[in-house]
Amino acid sequence: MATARFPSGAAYVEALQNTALCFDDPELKGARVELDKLQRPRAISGNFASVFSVTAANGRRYAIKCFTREVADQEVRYRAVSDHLAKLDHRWKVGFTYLPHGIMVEGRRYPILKMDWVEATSLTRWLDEHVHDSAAVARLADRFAELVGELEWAGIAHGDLQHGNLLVVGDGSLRLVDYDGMFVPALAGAGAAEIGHRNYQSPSRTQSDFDATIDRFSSWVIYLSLVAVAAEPALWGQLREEGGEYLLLTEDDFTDPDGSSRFSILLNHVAPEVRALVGHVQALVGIPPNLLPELKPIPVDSLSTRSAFHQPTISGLPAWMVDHVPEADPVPDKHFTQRGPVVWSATLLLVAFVVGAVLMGALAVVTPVAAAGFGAVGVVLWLADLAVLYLRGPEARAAKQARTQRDEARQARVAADVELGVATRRSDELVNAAKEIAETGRKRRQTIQATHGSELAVLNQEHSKHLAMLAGERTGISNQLRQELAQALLAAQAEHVRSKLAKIEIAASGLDGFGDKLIGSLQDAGIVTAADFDGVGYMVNGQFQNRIAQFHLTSGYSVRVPGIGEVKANRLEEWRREQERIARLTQPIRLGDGQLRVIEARFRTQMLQLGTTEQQAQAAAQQRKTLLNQRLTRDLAALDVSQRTATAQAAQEQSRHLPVLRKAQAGAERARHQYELAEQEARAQRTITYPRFVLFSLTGR
Amino acid sequence: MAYSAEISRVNPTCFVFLVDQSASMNDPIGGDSPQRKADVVADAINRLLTELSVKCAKEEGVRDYFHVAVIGYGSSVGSAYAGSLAGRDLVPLSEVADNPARVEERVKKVPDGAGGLVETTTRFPVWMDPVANAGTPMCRALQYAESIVAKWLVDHPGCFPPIVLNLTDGESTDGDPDAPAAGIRAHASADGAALLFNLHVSAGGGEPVTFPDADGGLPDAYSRTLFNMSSVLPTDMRSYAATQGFSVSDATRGFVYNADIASIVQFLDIGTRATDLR
Ligand SMILES: Nc1ncnc2c1ncn2[C@@H]1O[C@H](COP(=O)(O)OP(=O)(O)O)[C@@H](O)[C@H]1O
Repeated sequence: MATARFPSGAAYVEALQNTALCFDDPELKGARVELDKLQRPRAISGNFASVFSVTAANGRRYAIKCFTREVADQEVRYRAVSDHLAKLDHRWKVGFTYLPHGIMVEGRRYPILKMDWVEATSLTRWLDEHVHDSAAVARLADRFAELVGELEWAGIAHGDLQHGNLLVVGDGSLRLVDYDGMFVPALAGAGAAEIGHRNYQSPSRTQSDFDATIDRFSSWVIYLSLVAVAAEPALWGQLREEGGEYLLLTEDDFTDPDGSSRFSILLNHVAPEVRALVGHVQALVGIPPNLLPELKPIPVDSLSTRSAFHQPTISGLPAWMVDHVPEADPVPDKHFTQRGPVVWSATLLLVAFVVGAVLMGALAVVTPVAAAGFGAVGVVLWLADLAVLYLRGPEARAAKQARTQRDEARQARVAADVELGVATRRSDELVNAAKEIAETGRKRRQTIQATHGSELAVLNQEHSKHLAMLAGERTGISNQLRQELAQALLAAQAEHVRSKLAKIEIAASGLDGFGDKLIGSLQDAGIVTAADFDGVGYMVNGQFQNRIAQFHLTSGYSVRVPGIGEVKANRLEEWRREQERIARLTQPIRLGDGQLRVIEARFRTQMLQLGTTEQQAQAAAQQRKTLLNQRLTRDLAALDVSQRTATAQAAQEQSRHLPVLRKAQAGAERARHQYELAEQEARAQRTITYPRFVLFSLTGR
Repeated sequence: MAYSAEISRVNPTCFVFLVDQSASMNDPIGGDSPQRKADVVADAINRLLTELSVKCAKEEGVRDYFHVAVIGYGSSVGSAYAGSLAGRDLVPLSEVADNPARVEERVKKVPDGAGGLVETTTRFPVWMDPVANAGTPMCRALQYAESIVAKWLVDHPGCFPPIVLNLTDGESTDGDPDAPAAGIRAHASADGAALLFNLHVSAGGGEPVTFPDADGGLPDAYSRTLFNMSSVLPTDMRSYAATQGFSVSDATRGFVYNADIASIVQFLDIGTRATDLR
């Protein structure tokens, strides 16, 4: 085979069990390989290679990359990359040597990449562990922007920026691994060796895109994800499924940005920075890869100190906390605060009126009734003034707003529940529909097969009946043949005896007592030779009490011969028997060939005809069977086609609906939390009432 | 485009291996090899499981990109896992990887690179032992696989289509396997119809054949039947086959005669976007 066929991951695992044999490199020969649970070399695999951790005798640890797929011009590419990186002094770099014949597998040598081992965690795993440390995530976003800036500055590109190739070291700095697809100026025009992870690339990127701009789309995607997670850690759980091979956005979001639920959630984010970034990234989808803009990080010293990221929500909790407050802490009841000068003046008004009324009553300026009336007017005016102050006051307004927000949140929750209900029902419907399709398919298949089975059975039954009948005929014919042969033989024998007997004349027999006269009488009765009669019977003559002999002629008549009594008749009959016995001794015991042939020939045609009939029946049955089978195959194939279409359609609908359901679930969950918070908030306002305000204006409590 | 769904932990797919365990598998494979067909097939399965485990190994361990069933058919049809997985159908790959029945030390003579041979010991995980008795209920086995695939698809309607890989000497004793094979291929996810591949081990001799596109060169009726039951390789897998040096066409099928089929695992893409390599 002309092309090099690269060993599989398992083949490398096998070879690495003997490093003294598989490596030539002095440092690697006999080195210790890190093992897995089964005590076999532990692989970390990508799509193009498996990487193994190998520790040399001198204690240095290497990452040995073994290739499982061909990369065009691999050696040239690595040399160019190695030369170019040597000139750079960047922290993200990982040292490596390309060894073109580095490893032997099953007797053949293959290249390896000997890299410095990086003790680090891949980006998604790091985020899983640090998602709630917003400051650390924001710092990482900064560092990532810095790394991208360094690549841009150097005029190079990695080609496959993604969570598996961005490793986070213990001190929080980033390392970039996997330089298979890297662009350096020396490789201009070579074409891309790979086009990167599906969940990080522009849908329009192709292999001919290969220049310093190939990381731009993925840079924006990664930066946006880090910034959004720093702003609201809850997004990490909301927009991704656990173990997803992406950050916040996937291939589906890029191919259909308008239909993407993730984009729409991010576009409505509270933090304006996130909204702006998302809008920007969404717009990148339609831009040809080489025209994409360079990553522009948010222009602040450090994202982590930005307070805009912690905008309070109605409950005063930052947005990202919402998900993490299963039952919100009770909000303490609200109280009136600060009796301002206006409240004081209202109290003064009351005091003035009351004092006035008392004075007027006491000094008898007016009637006591009028004084009381004056006081009452004062109280009424005071209460009215307080009512106005209460309604205008910040506490009552806040209380009213809280109640309005609660009502709105309740409505929103009801709406979200309805939406979730609809989505869930739809999802159940889809699952049931898919099940039904499978069930119908199975039933139809069964019906088709059952029909086929029973038709085949009927056919077989008819056919074997027919065959049995033909077999019966065959037996009949051969019986007949046998019979006919036997009869023919009998006839031939009878004829032999007859002709022999016909030659023996009674006159020449010399029988005792048969004189000329008697011979004459016999002759008159038609009996000349032994062949002329075949037996004698007797009739009893009632009148004379004697028996009269009657000769059976071969012609069929019985005759009486005058002059022959019982004795003579017996004698003649015995003589005839004796002659017959003698004649039988020479009779034929089988049919003459000619006769045999004639008879057999007649039957052979019959048998042949029967054989043909059988063959025809056989063929007809076979043909019907073939037709049945053909129909079965055709019916099943047609069923397959319709089932496949139906199943595919159902599956498509289901997977189209899945994001809708997820979104509805997330929405309902959110709405529930928000309502609970709003409800707490509203309940805390139950102390804000007018009577309490009156009390408060007097007592300050 | 069909056969382009992402294979991930979020969107895993399933592999169903069918292993012929009939009495005829006791016969030697023929040629220079003293191996029995049953041994060849058991080794192939153990290799395939190793291959899948290595392919899906990441820094923290093996990821559940696949759920895997190994179904034997001979005196009965059912799970062929030995050891702690015995009796189970689909098992998440991480669990498969950690639970072989045992790990054998195998001594092998390998080229030393200088024209000689040296003896070396490798650790070989074993999930399934060679078994050979009774008839070859291939139709029932295919129906069993179909039921696994159907159930899987209800829960994973958007997955990369399930793959059924049948390893046999081809001599079905319970009828023509064509219809049940079509039964499997009739199931589909949103990403395409389920795939059925076949490995034919035979003492029939002749050249080993890998991924042919016509049944003309095949040695006997069994291999032709199996070829015709096999799915056409999806475009991307075909491209990888081509880069690995196999000659392929639009009609190339997932069928192998007396040759290695473990390479099929190398043709699967995880994460990286499929490229139009050729
Ligand atoms: N130098 C290294 N040190 C430590 N781990 C590494 C190193 N290089 C690669 N890895 C690990 O191996 C995995 C696969 O390597 P990578 O080069 O990305 O292979 P592929 O090209 O097949 O994607 C990486 O995701 C990373 O976890």
